Amino acid sequence: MEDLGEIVGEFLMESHENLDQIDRDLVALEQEPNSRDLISRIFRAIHTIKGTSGFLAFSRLETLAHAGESLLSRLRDGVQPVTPATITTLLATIDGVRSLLAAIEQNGNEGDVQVDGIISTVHAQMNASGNPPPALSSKTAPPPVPLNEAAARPVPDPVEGQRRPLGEMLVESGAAQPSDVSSALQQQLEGDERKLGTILLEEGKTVPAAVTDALQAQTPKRSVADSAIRVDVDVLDGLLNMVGELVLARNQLVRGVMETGDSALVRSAQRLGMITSELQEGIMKTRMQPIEHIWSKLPRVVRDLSTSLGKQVQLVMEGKETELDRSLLEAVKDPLTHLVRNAVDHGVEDPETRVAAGKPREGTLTLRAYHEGGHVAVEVADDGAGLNVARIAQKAVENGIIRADQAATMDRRDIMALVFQPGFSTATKVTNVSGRGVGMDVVKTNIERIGGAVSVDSTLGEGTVWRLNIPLTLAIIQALTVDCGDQRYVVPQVAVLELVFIDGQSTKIEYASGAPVYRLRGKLLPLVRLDRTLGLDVGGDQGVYIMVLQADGRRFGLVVDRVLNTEEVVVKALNSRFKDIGLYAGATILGDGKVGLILDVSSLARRSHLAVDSERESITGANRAAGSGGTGERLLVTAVGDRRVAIPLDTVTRLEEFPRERIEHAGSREVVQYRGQILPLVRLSHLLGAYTEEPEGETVSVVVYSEGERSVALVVDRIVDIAENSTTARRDAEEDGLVGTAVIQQRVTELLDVRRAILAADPNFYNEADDSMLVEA
Amino acid sequence: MASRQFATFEVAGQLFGVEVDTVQEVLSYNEYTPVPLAPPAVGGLFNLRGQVIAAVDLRVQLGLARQALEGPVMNVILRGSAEGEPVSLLVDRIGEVVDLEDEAFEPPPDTLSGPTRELVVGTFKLDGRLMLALDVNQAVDTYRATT
Repeated sequence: MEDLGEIVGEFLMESHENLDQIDRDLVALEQEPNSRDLISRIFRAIHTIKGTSGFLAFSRLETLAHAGESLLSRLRDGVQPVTPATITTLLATIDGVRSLLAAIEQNGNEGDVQVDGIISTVHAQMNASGNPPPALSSKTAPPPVPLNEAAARPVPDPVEGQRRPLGEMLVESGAAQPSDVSSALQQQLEGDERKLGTILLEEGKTVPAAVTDALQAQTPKRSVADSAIRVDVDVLDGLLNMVGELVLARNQLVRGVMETGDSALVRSAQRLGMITSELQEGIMKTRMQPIEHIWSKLPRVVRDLSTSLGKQVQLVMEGKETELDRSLLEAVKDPLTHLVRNAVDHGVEDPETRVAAGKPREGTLTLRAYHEGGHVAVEVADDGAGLNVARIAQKAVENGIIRADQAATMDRRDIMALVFQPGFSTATKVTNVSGRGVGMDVVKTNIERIGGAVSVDSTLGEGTVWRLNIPLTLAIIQALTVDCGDQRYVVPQVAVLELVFIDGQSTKIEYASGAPVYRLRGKLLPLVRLDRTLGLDVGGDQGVYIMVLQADGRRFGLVVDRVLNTEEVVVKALNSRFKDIGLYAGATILGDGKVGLILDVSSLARRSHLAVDSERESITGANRAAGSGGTGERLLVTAVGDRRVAIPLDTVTRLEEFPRERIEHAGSREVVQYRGQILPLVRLSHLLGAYTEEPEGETVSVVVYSEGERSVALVVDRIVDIAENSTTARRDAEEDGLVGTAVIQQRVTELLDVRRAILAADPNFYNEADDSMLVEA
Repeated sequence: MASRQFATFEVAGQLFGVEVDTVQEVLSYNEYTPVPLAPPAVGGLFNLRGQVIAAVDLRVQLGLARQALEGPVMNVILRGSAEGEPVSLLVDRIGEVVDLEDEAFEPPPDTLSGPTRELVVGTFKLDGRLMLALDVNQAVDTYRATT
């Protein structure tokens, strides 16, 4: 056996691949029972397994494969039609082969895996439709189609000498003129040693892309077998690590070389840098695999499950070529399978219900993968019954996840998100597939562990979409570096919602019986001091930053000393001895070569005793805000001198900061160039007669208001906050430029007459025709 | 009679040794990233050619005060043991690599007690001084009680 070890290993690997393909083909065959191509392919694959297992003396495997082969040959010859029952039998056969292979992989022999039962089922299957009338067989068997394998896999042009001239190809593709090509050829004849493509390029007669394409077309295509090799993943991981080290060495070298100031050396170092980056990219690419790899098992899952549940489900896959890092694929596999099973079990209704609801008998389950920003989105969408928001809310109340009064005020999306809470299940009965109260929270945990996010949207009666947002690669994440104490920490950017600077005056940390909180747009945000959490000396409340973070559905503010910048960091696994601390998701090498710890945002939230209670508080708080949002409008509160001026938020297009020196003058007006337009400015302090000292600072804060093509900017001293207009106390205006005053956040705030302010900036703003100011810059 | 090679180093004036084949390399390094809330014996993390290595402060393991991590500190980097990751021991000074006959070996003296006793597998009698052979796994176990 020793000598055969390698052969067996190869056989196992090859067989596993073949089996996955057979699974897919069998499910496909059920859809098109007359496809001779599919039958032949399955037949060949099983035949290979049979042959090799015979050679390796795995007799039970051989017998089983033989039985499967016999049944297939009957299908192929049209002696017996393809029915769901035959497919089930064949799938069972494949499963038998799988368990035998698993035993061989584990023990080196077939162990005590029993296959007699399967074999007799196969025989029964063959005998059952034993001697079908010839008429039937001729009907079910399609007219013999010529095997078009040759057409499917074109033999590559074998003779290299048959390369077509580059010039001819360029002319044909319209990328070059015949006259240019002949003059270039003439130059070559006259002794120009440059290549034809080079001459054409240098004279600007064609475009680089066209030449590259033509050159590629010239090279004979390698067959699939020649162009792909199998590489052990460990080898790739090793390469990735080495490239990581190379990048660090490069960084150090580049830094050292910069100091020498030797320009030739600097150039070489930069070149080395570029090559290193490309190498790194290339290695990362080798780890990318199409998502098809994990999808390929799903047709079988869907088929088996829907059959056992008496449902009809068609599986549609879109974007299966979308690539993901291998380690991520592994991590996504189980959650995805769970979502698919769940969709078949709970999403898609049984045929009778569907027909009664006016839908086709067959449900459709769509898997969709696509790139979006720096992420890959994977969706599992069904056209089933959809989530019943009322029932989820009721169940959540019963299970004690929320209180009844909370449920009444919650947004439907928030309610749907409750299905990701641990211990939640709306399944009315527990099936062997799902409904045991585990699952969705595990899906969520697993996806969040790899830095992804999961969400759900659903329309009752129309279907449900589960959406996974997965980072492109595990190894590199976008992160913010922050300072706390005298150390630097790294926070994954995916968790960061926004940053707030605490100056101690307009923005400040408050205490609710000792618990630090911050009013974020009128809502209390629980705060976690990073220094306290890490057991370091606790710093002051002024001149610090709050990072508004979200993890596990909790939102909280993390107080750090300083936020430095965003960068891409390479995540290194942290020594297992630090796992118990639970605060660190990993480590990374920072730009200066030091090790930086990556904070684990969700456990930070948990550890900081942001108990479920406080989370509930914040949810109810949110609901109160949302509830009152129905009556009052949202206002942007700004500071103008020592006055507070509120502007209705829905009239605001953008908030901008302009460097003071960018303000120019046009006549008596101040203007600034903005997105190719001349943007007129009006200083609210002038307009409102609040002649105060010019605030210090390099920049001015402006509120941009646009309508159609026109924009104006209102200059304020500072943006203070966004608040709800509770309209508790309100007086009409006594001053020009205001519509009134109100008490907002316990302070008297003036409400700006927006129209008046806009006209002060641009008297023609509301006139369609005249356009003296806003010409294209 | 068999002899074994030991890499030796000093901590607080005492000579210690570990078998040479457990050592990956020895180097001095001066920038360590502290890990808040980690066991006290963890001196910090450092970057060994792109790999993040945990440095275990042998002084703390021996029940002494922490090593002040200012300026270069010597690291004896041990090959990954059970966990498969290399771990470093922070020591005061590196000694020689010595060949020791098994005859020079004696179990730790009965009078040796305290945290050191748990880390030591035996005593080697060298010319003029004693070398304590460390149990590598114990030495890097930062969850040992160190009181």
